[in-house]
Amino acid sequence: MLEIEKLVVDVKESGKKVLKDFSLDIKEGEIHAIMGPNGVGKSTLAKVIMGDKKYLVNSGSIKFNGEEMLDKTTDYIARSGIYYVMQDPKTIIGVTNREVLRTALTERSGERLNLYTFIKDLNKETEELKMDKEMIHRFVNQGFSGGEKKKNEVLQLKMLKPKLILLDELDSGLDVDSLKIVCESINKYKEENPDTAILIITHYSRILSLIHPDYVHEMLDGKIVKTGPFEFAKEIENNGYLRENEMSDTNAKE
Amino acid sequence: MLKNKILQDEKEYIDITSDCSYIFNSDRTVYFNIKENVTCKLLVKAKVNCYFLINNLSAKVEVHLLNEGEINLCLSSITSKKVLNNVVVYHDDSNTKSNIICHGVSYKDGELTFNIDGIIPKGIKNCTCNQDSMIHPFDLAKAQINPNLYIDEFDVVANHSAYIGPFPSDILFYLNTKGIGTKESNRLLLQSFLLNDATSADYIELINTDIKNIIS
Repeated sequence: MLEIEKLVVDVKESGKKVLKDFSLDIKEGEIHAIMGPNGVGKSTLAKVIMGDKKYLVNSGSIKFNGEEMLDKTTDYIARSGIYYVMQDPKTIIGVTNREVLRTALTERSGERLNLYTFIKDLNKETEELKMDKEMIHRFVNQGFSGGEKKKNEVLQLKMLKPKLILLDELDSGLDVDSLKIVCESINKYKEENPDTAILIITHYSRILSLIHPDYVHEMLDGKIVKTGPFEFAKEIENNGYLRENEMSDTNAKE
Repeated sequence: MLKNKILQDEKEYIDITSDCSYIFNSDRTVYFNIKENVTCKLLVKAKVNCYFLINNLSAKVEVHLLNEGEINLCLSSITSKKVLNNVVVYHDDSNTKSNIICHGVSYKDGELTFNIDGIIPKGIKNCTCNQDSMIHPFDLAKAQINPNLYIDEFDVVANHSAYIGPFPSDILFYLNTKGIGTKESNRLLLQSFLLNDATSADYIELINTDIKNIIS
């Protein structure tokens, strides 16, 4: 589904290299987790997949269902079926959540939206996420708590029905109960759409107990240094992340 | 000299086609659509919310605040030509308040200038004088904002802010990540920017028509 091959990426403004020969292969229906310390390029990876123009791709490729994505616009990438749950969703005063969803759905279908179906689906998803129905009429994320912002992102996900979900530190800013509700909703979506793939970017294994990954990757210095099954996440949490000198020792021994 | 008109209660939306002067003795909200290069004078003796829409025209709005009057004035200006929009607010009595929000869009060959003046003379105490001005130029259009506060009294609160530039790139990116393209993202943002919190159906329809011209 998603094939990232030897990606080398700089931050445009500073020229700093953030992804160095990064490769990852996610197949249909798989759940992958990427863990790593701050500043190794985890969130950058998600933004580069979404075509954020703040980053310069020097070499490599990103293919989604066989189609090269590096030369595509962000909205095209999103309409192709990739949904990005931001670590810090933006507030847009003057534009309601309802308007964003209606516009996004209309852009996807290219036709006028059936209002009755839209409202029915929206009410169902809002109820499942235990969100106040009034929130959909409020400006995007204005006055929302951290948990409410993330719930709002998941609400949009359920309505837009993506094939690949990028969860960028979904657990940040969420209390225990809100995290459970949000993860249950994502798991339910996965059950109803078993071909959906998920990439979870996180510091902690707490979320991985709620959305169970098939593969856990440790990321360091712009690339994946080690991959393991779900139990590897607990190992990382207990032992900490590999440091650069430990990594070169490991390579030397191998 | 212009004769001061008192607005009839039922009139909320007004087309302005010549120089005019209105007096507000009671709290109300009113929408003005400027259709010529005019001067519109407002004498405010109550709490008033005013919305002005100016399309490809130069206009002046002059406000006199009296008898503890308060005005929230939202001016939306859209142009593909060279125009100048003036707003001058005179705090003629103590305990008066003004909150002036000017939002503009210039596009194609447009050059939009806002001159915003707030005036509080000596002896006029306990006033609040705020101005917030923003212009988003599209294509190669130009913009200029000249905010002025003429304050000759210590016991007042006066603020101003001015911004010229595109919509924030992180907001556009957020909308793009939902699958919303540049055109529709601009439409959504322009709607909120130019409508402010207006509720008049006639006013909203006018602005939506203007937005279609900008994004096309």
